[in-house]
Amino acid sequence: MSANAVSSRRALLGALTGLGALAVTGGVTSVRAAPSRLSKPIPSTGEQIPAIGMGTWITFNVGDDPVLRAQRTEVLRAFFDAGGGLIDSSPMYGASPRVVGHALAALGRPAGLLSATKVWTSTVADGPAEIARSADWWGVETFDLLQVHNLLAWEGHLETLFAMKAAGRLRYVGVTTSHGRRHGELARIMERHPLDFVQLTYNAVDRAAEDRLLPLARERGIAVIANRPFRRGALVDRAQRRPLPAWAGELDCATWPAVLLKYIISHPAVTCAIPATSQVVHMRENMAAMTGVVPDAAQRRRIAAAVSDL
Amino acid sequence: MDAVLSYNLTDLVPFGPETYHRLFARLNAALWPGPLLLPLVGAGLVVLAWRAPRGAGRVTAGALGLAWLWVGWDVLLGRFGPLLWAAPYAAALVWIQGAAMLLAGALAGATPARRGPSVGHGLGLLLALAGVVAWPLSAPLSGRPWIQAEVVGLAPDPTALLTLGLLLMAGGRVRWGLMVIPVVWLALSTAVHVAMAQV
Repeated sequence: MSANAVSSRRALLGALTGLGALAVTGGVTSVRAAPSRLSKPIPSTGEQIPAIGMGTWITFNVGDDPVLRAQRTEVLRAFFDAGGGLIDSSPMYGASPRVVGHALAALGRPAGLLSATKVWTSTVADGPAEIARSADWWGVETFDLLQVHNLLAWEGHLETLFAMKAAGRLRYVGVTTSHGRRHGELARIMERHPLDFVQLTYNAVDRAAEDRLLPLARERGIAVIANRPFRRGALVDRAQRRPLPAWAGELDCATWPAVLLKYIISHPAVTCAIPATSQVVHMRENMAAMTGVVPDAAQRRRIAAAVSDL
Repeated sequence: MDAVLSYNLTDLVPFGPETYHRLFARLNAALWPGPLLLPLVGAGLVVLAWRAPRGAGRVTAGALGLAWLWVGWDVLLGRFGPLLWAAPYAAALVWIQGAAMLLAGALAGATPARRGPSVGHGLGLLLALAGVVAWPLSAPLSGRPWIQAEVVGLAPDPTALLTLGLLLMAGGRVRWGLMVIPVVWLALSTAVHVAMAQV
C-alpha cells in the first residue's frame, strides 16, 4: 500500500463490515456480522483494517532455504486470499523480514498490505539505518507502521518515528511489549505520547491488559495489536485435547483457533490479532475467525471460562 | 537487564525445528562427501586416543582446533548468522575454543595421549563415540532423513561431544580448561533443542 492511499479493497471491506464493527465496539450484544470479514478502524485515522493480521516470529525465519521460502509464500498467498492486511515483523526475527519481502515480491506485491515492523536497537542513532535496511528487506519504500520494539530506547526512537511521520515518510507510530511485561511503563507512554498503535500480549488466558491498557487505548484513541494470541501455539495444543464445545457453532467457529482468536478481536479496544503460522491450513483456520458472529460479552466470558478450564 | 532476564529461553530462539534440521540437510548436501568422510576421521581420532601413540595428543588437538574454527565460520556465522542475532557471539565462543585447541596442539605435552583403563578414559570413549556415531544416527532414529544428520567436524554438537571425549581420554592439566567451552556449548544447545521442541 502506498503511504498516502487506502486501498479500494480495504475501503470496501470497511463498508461491508461496518455493522459488525459497530456491534463489536458496543461489545454488549451478539450480532451476526455482515457476510464478509471483520475489519476494525484505526482510531487515529478511521482507516479500516482486517481484524486478523499475521505475525512472523519463528515461522518466517527460514533463511534462504528455497523450499521453505516457497511454502511461506503460499502461506502469505492464503493470508491475502482470505482478506489479510497487516503483517508484523522485526529486525530481531532473523531472516523473517527478508522472507516476507521475498514472498511479497513472488506474489506481485498484493494490494491491501499494511506493512508493520519495528525498530530494535539500543543505539537511537542507529535507528534510521536499521529502518532503511528493513525497508530494503521488505521491498517497500516506506512502512505503514513502525513500532519501538519492546520499549527498547523508546524515547529516542519515538522522536525519530514522529519526525518520519511528520515528514510523510511513515503513516503510523507505535510501541510494543509482550508477555505482559512493563505494562506500567507502557501506560505512561500511552498517556503522554500521540501513539497510533500499541502492541501487547492479549489472549483468553493472558488478560492483564483488560485492567488498564485496553481501556486506556480506547480512551486515548490508540489502535491495539494483540500478539501471542495462542501463546506461541501452546493454547491451541491445550485446547485441541478437548472436543470443540457445541456452543462454538453459535459463534460460527469450526476450530479452536477460531474460538481463541474471536475472543481477542471481539474486545472493543483490540484492532487486530497477529497469529503466526507456517502452514496454509492453519492460516485458513485463523482467517476464518474474521467471519460470522462476533462474540458478545456473555459469549466472551464463556470462551474465557472454557479456556481457563483446559 | 531485568527485562531481558524475565524472558524464557523459548522466547529467545527465533527458529523452529524444521528450519534447524533443513539447515543441516543443506549443509551436508553442499559439502558432500564431507558428511561421509568426516565421521571416519573422527573415528580415526578416537582410535588414536585409545592407542595413545607418541604425538597423538598434538594431532587430535590440532584436528579438533581446525574443526571448531570451521564450525564457527561455516555453520554459526555463515548459516545461522542470518537466522539468529546471537550467532556472531556463538561463533566467537567457538573460535576461542578452536584457537585454544590449536595452541594446545602446538605446545608439546599440553594434552598428552594417555592409556586407559580409568573411569575418565571410559567416559571419554563413550562421549567420543556419541559424537562420532550416535549423534549422526539420531536423525534417522528419530524419523528424519539421513541427509539431516549432524556430523562431527561440520556440526557443533557432535564436535563438542568428540572434543570432550578425547580430552577426557587425554592427560595433562590443560585439558580441564579446554573442556569449559564444549560443556557450555552443549548446555546452550540442549536449551535450544528444548525451546525448539515447544514450537
